[in-house]
Amino acid sequence: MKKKVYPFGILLSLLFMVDVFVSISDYGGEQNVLYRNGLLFVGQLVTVICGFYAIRMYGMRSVTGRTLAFFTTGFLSFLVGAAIFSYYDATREISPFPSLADGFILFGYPLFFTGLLLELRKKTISLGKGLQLLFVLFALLLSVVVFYFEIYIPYDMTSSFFVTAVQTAYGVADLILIILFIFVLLLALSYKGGKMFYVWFCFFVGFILTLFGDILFGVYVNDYLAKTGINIYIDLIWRSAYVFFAFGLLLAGMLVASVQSNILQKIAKK
Amino acid sequence: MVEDAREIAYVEIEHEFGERTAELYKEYFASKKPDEILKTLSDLLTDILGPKQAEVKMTHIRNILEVYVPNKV
Repeated sequence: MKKKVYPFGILLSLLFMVDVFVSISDYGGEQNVLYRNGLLFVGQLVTVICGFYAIRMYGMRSVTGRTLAFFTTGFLSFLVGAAIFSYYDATREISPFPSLADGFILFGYPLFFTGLLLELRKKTISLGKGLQLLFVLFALLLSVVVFYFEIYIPYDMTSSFFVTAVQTAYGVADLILIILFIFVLLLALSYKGGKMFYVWFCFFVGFILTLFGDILFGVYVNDYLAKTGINIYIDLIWRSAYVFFAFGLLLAGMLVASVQSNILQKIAKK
Repeated sequence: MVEDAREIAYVEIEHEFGERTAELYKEYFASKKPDEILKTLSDLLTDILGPKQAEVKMTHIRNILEVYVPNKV
């Protein structure tokens, strides 16, 4: 299995490195935005394809298959949202934020949450009281940070109700993301010693990078839209998350493929 | 007892790794004894889900088998 996973991992890393190069070097001048949006689309598309591969391997009768189906639909929703955002941003016909794009992006979060709930229902997570307290404190601290930077600071009395509502929705979505990545970490730890650990650890890194990007977006939303340069780095953080999501989904699918291949060999030997 | 072990292993594998994988294991388990079935299942779960999750699941499975087929596990 390792032989198949490594080349794909290298390919994903290369795609991200090209993305970093194009973004930071301003490659292509005026066409740079187009290239960057194209690379984001490719990254998201690869993630969705990896998701469909994993769903195909697991099937919908397995709980993990259903969890991955929710995750993949979430990534698909992100992809559609990002495509609409890029279109509005390029044509400048409509302001990209807030817009229909946000509807699709925000729709992704409850999908991830539902998927995770399904997975948690069938797994046993046992934690010591000390660790439980540590996680609760960490979640509370992060929630305060998210609330302050994404809901309190961006709140503008002069903004329309719609702008305020969408901005607040992102803050709430990120509060969901905090719960998500903490439980994803707990799930990963519960798989320690097994190959599934790597799958959930990739998801954990992906979610934490998404949260980090979202917090920065909340803080620098005006700079982001005015393209002062910070937008490039925030985009890169979000894109790096896709590398981990895609890799995690691919790994999940390949795990089942390797289990099937091993048992087929044993059957052939009989 | 053999049928119970096969059935429970099938359900568990389908639950974790999908229908196709469960069907393949069903074929493999066709000529296996209950202890061999449980050993294979335990090894598979440990390899993929790790020792912690595997232990919880195997304890649960053994308990079910004990309840339905007393004194035979």
